[in-house]
Amino acid sequence: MKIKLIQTGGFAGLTRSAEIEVQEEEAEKLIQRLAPAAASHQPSPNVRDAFHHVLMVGDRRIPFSPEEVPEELRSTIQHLIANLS
Amino acid sequence: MCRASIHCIIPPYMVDKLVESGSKTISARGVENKFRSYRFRSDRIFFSAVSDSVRASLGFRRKARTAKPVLEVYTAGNKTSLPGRLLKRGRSGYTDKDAERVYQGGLHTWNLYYDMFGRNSIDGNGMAIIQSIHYGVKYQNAFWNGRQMVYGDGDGTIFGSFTSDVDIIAHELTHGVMQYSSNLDYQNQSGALNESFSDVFGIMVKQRMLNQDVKASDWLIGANVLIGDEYAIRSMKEPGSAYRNHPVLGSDPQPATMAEYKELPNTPEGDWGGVHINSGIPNFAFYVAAFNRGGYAWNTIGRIWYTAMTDTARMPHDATFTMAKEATLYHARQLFGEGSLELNAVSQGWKEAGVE
Repeated sequence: MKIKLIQTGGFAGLTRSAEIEVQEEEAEKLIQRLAPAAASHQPSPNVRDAFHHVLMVGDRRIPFSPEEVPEELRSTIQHLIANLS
Repeated sequence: MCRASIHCIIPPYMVDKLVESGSKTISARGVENKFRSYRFRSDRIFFSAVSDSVRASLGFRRKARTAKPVLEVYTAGNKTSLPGRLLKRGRSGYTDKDAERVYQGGLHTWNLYYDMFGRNSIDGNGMAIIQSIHYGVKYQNAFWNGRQMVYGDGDGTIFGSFTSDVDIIAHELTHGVMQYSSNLDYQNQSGALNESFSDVFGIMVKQRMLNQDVKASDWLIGANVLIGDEYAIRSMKEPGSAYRNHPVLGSDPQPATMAEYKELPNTPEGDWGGVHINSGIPNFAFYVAAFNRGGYAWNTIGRIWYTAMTDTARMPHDATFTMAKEATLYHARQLFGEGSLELNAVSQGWKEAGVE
């Protein structure tokens, strides 16, 4: 299954993205672990030039903060961030 | 009616008479009054206009330098906890070059705000300037988090260290200044103004550090951080030209005029209505105004932009480009007078940017 990370904002105000194929199981795990926090995910007030991240898993749009990703999912997210273009 | 103390001063002709009078006490008071007025015009002109003895009797320079910047540099150690570990500065500076850069950049920024606009640090009350370097792993950004500045190392391929440009350091610090003044909403036109003011003070810190007048400046923001001699992050002189056909980033999307204004959604994906994109328009207005006026930007048009940025009555949190234009025209009149070069330059700047 294809998952896509979209990064926006930052000092340069760029929109960049990266995609990878993952197993159905891993996609499900990403949804389960990130979606609950996404419902209450709010950009911090007074933060300027911050990055914003959204994970697209199928039709699901999951805003999240890479700093708060559980350890077991971190390598997948880091791989996506390292391949943003 | 006077709204602020700087506008409630004795008329210039009366001050001149006081200065010319024989009494040392009256002269000193006259000079103090005159200084309060002229500090928003030109310190250089003011000091050349009074005699050495009057200048010495006031002891002005000593009194004016009572405030000192408080700068703290931390390393996040490639993690994301802030502020991280406090670094010590030795006699010859920091051993870490990123630490030394942000220290010097913070100092140059404090100096501009204090020396030219009389502002003591971010909050106007001597707030410590806290900066953390080495944030995250190959982190390709710098930001203000509401309390401090944060810098990543870049990936070394597209972006170098975000400490590489003094204008980025001053840009982030200015977000803090705005938080304690106009606090412009970070969305749509007020957000683009928020971004633009940060670039305006960023470029002035760079110009002052390099002793560059408006003609010598490259007017580029982030000229070093974006790797490649032909690239920068933004151009205030020619928005939309900072990078072209970059292999990863494509081309600079910034407009220079209202005719090219980008209507974008007020969402993270839309850059909150294009705050980093439409900032090209007020950036261009500032550039045109400063270039037409000539000389050092911080002595003239920069003073107008500072008083406008910190005027919460004329620059409310949801200010539009038109309100920014009106605020800068108002302060150009107050500081430099009707028919002045400065007022005409500001008017021309907004006109060329297409802001009605």
